Amino acid sequence: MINLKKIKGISLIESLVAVVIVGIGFISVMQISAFSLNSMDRSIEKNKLNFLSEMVLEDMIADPYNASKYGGFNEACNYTNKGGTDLNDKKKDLWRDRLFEKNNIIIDNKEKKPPCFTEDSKKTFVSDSGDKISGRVNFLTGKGQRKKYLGVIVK
Amino acid sequence: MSLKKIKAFTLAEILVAIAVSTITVAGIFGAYNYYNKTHSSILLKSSISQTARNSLSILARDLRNAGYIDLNYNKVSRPEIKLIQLRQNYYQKLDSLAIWYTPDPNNRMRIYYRPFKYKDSNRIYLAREVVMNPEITGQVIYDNVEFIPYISDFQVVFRDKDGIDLTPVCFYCGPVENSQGAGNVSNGYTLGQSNMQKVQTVEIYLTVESPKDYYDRNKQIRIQNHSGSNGNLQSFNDKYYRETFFISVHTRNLAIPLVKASSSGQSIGVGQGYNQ
Repeated sequence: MINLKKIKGISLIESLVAVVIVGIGFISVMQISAFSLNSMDRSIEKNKLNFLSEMVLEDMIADPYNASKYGGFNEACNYTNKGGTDLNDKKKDLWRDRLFEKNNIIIDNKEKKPPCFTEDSKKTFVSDSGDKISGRVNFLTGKGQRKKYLGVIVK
Repeated sequence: MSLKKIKAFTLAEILVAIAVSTITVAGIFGAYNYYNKTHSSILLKSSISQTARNSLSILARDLRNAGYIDLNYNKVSRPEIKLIQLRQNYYQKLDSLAIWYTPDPNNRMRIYYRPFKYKDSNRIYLAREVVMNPEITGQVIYDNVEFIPYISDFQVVFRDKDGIDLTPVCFYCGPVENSQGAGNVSNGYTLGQSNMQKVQTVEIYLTVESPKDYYDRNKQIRIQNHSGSNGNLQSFNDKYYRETFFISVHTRNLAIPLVKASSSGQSIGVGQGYNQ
């Protein structure tokens, strides 16, 4: 009879523990790839937001005599279009629709929306010092963690 | 010979080893599949993001220059009749855009953004064609090369100083524009030409789709960029991933908000000389 205690080798328990440890390693690497997929989505959202912040400033530049009316825009996650006949009213409604990607893409009857949290906000400010008007945007996304600031001298 | 003295694995040991290694290999295989899938979706998304970022920046730059006529430019007698142009439903429901401007006093550029079908499939790309001095020598700089690959939608909206949808705006007009009265002449300009000087803002909706399949099964996808009377609704039933990008640019050289022009909404291009 062979004495089992004298055989040098790995026991079943040991090998199972090794498999579990390797498994934990795999899971963490899987999380990294899930994270990178997530950051790709964030990058696309940021990309869109960059273009949208330019849109807001372009609209201020386009209407310099009424630029001060473009300030005070403040939207969280839910919005309603306010209507109005002035150019700035129409532009603000357009901002709302575009910032929340209204009707852009509908997949299986579900509208694809940008992620929005309660801490997020989309604001504009216009400061008028008589001879100089400057405007800026202040977009907070990702639970208020990601900030997009952009400013321009309108006139 | 005594069998008990042969050192070897027992059947039970081998079975356990096979079971453990099968589980391990299955796990590794699953992980490999997962990584492979993640990798390809990251590639698809990053190509979409990069394409949109690069191409829309160039498009925005062109739009900002649209209609610029250098003060010393004198090659063509009436450059003010070719400033900017929109052709609706140029290919299927996708629009085309044309922009003219002078990069320097001696040259004038015409830039076309037009959707075309790939030769070997029914998918669509957006081409950018640049021709230097098209009225004189017509030196082709870029000839309809693929500018944005694989697009689902390209919508162009022109708005005037009151934020109202402005159509028709064209020199080389299409059937949609002609039905909107693009050819009606008044004061020496057709309606399509005179509207060029009223364009204050240009909005671009661009829906890019992934080069390869993304979803496992077909999805019902509806896209309505630019709703309203000139809007287009498109439906797809396929596996492509799509993203819509939007830019809005103030065309500084067209309906510029000068006091003189603000009453008519027209630029300095209108009148006796374009270079007043």
